[in-house]
Amino acid sequence: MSRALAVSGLVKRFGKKIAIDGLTFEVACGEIVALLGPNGAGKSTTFACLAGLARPDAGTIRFDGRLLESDRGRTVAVIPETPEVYPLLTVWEHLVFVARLCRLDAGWEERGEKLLARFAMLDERDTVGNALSKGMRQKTLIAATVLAGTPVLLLDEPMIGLDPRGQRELREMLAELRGAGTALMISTHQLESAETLSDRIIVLNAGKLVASGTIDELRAQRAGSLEDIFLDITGT
Amino acid sequence: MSTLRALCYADVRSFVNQLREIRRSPGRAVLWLLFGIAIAAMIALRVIRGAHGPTTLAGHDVSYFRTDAIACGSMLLLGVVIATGNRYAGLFAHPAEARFIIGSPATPFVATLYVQARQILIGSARQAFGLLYAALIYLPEALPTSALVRDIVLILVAFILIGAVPLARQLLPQRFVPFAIGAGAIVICAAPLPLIRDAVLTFAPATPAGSLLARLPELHPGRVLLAGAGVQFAAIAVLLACTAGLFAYVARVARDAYPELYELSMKRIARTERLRGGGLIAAMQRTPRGPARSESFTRGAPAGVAIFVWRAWTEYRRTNSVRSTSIETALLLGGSYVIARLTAYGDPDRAIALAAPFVNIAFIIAFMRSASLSNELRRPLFWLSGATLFERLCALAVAQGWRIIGWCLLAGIGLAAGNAPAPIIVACALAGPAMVLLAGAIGYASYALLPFEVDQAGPLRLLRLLIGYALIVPPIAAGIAVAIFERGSILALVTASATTLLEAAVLIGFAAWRLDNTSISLR
Repeated sequence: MSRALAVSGLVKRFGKKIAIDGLTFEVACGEIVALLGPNGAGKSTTFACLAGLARPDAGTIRFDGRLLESDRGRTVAVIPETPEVYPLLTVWEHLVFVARLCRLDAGWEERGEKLLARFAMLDERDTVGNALSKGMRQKTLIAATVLAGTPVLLLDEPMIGLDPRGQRELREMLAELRGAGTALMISTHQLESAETLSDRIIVLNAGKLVASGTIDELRAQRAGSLEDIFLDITGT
Repeated sequence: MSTLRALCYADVRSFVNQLREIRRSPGRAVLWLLFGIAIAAMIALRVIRGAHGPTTLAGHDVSYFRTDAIACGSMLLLGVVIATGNRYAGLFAHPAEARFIIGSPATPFVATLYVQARQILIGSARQAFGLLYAALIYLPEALPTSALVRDIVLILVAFILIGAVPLARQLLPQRFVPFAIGAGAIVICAAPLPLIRDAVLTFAPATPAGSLLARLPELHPGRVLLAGAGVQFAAIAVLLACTAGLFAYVARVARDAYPELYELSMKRIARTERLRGGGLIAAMQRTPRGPARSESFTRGAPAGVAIFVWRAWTEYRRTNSVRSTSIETALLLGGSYVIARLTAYGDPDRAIALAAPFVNIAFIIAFMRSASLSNELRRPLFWLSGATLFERLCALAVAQGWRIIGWCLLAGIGLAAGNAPAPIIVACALAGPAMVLLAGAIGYASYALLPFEVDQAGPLRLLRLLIGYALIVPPIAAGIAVAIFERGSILALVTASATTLLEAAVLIGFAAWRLDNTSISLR
C-alpha cells in the first residue's frame, strides 16, 4: 500500500483500565474500514487517539509514513456520534468557519453549495445550529468536515439520526470519497451498514483486535451472517 | 411519596458518588483538603481580628458607602428580576428529571416544592462561597464576628429571595405582568439613588444635580448590615417569609404549568451548556427568539485561527440588536465621560479610594470565573486545520473577551473626552484589555489542570484568585521600575500591560501543553 493510515501497537489506559491494548492495523487511501465491537470495546477511544483527542500511552500513528503530531487536524477529521454544532452559527456559516480555518482555496463555496444540495439542506442554509434537528446537525457536520478535505476521515455511527435519503446520500458520498483516495474508518453497531459500505472489517473486543479482513475472509473462517460471526468472535 | 423518595435517593447518591470520585484521586483529595484549610484559616483570622476589635461599631468611622453598595446592588438586582423575570429561571435539573416528575404520580405541589428547595439549596451553597469571600474582604473590618455571621446569613437569604423571584415572575398571569414591570422599574430607579446622592454630593455639590439631590433625605439602606441583632433577625424573617410565599405560589400554579416549567428548564440547561464553554460573553448571550433563520454572514471572515473571533462576532450580531448595541455604547461612552467630569471637580485621592474596592471586586469576579473549554474541545470542527492548540487557545481567549475589551476601549474614549488624566485613560484602554486576557488565561490554565466542574467551583476558584493576585505583582513591579528609571507613567503602564500579556501567553501555553499531554479533551 502506498499511502495509508498506519497504526502500530496502540495502547491507551484510563487509570488501571486498559481501553486499547496493542492495536495494529492499516487503512489504505481509497479504502473504507468498518470498526466493529461491543460496547466498551475501545472503538471511540481508538478514534479519539487517531484524531488527537487522546494521547496514546504507547504505539505510533502514521500517515503516508509520517508520524502524526499535534498538527494532525490537517490530516485527520472525526465526525462524532453526537453532532455538536455551534448553536448560534447558521449552516452556511459552519462551512465558512471551516473554509477559513483550514485556509481552503477559492472554489470552496461552490463545493459547499453542492454538499448542502446533496443533503437537501439548501433550504436550511440560513438556519442556526440551535434550531436544527439532530439529523440536520449531523448533515451540517458531515458537510463541513468533508469540505475540509482531510485525507483521513473517521465517522462514529454516521447513519444514526439521518433520514433514508440522508443515509443514501452519505453512502454515495463515502463511495465518492473512497474513489477520490480518502482513507475512511466507520465505527458502527449497524452490521448491515458495515457490510454494505466497507471494504474491510476490524473487530475489537476488550481493547484488542480479535478479527480483521473482508466479509468474505471472515465468512471463510466462520459460517453464518455477519451478525452470527460478530457474536461468535466477540462472545457477546 | 415514592417519587419524592426516588428523587431524594438520586440526589443523595449523586452527591455521595461525587465525593467518592474526589476521594479516589489523591491529587483532587489533597486539593480539597487544602481548600478547606485555607477557608478555615480565613474565617479564623477574621474571627480573631473581630474578637480583638470592638464589640460594637459605636465610635468608629464607619463608611456607609460599602454597605450601601451591597444593599443598593441587591435591590437593583431584585428590581431587574421583578421587571424582566429571567428567561433562564428553570426548575428541573435535566430533561430526564422533568419527564420523570411530570410522568410521576406525585402531586405537582409537593414535587415542585421539593425541586425548588433543592435548587435553592444548591444555588445557595454555590453563592455562599462567593459571599464568604466578599464578606470577609468587603465588609467593614471593625465588624464583630457575630455581626459578620449575621450579615453573611442576611445577604444569603436576600440572594435566595432574588433567586426565587424569576420562576414566580415567569408563571405570573399575563394581566399582572404590567404591574410587575412597573414595580420592578420603580425599584430599579429607587435602588441606586442613595449611592448617586452620596457620590454627587461628595464630588459635585455645587452643580444643579447636587442641589437637586441634596433635597432628598439621607438614606443608607446599608445600615441594615451594621444594625443590631434584633433588626437583622427581623430582616431575615421578612425575607424568608417572602421567599416562602413565592415558593408556595410557584408550587400552587405548577399543577397547570408543567409545560411552561419544562420549557424554561430546557432554556436554562441550554444556557448552562453555553456558559460552560463561553466564559463571560456566553453568559450575556441570549438564545435567538422566534424563527431561528438569519442571514448568513460571510464577508470579512479572516483566514486561520482568527476565525474564532469572527465566530464570536457573528454570534454577538445574531443575539444583539443594533439598538441594544447602541445603548451599550452610549452608556459606556457617556458614563465614563460623566465620571471623568465628576472626578475633575473633587479630590482625586478620594475618587481613587472610592473606586478601589470596585476595581478589587472586578478583579475578584474576573479571576474567580472558570473558563471551561469542554464546549469547544468536544466540537469536532475546533480540531480541524493544522493550527497548534496554543494558537487556537490564544484566538479563543480574544474571542471570548472581545466584548469586555471593547468596553474598556469605549470607556477609555469616554474618559479622554472628559479630559481625564492620560494615565487613567491608558490604564483603562490598554491595561484593562490585558487584564481581561490574563483572567481568561488563568481560567484556561485552571481548566487544563483539573477540568471537573466541582473542582472548578471549589478549590480552583480560590486558586485562580490567588494566582490572579500573584500575577498582578510582576506587571506592577515592571511598571514601577520603568516609572522610576524613565519617569514616564504612560511608558510604565505600557510596560505593565506588556508584562500582563506575556503572563497570559505563558498560561495559555501551559494550558495547551497540559491539554496536549493528557486526554482532557475527552471529558
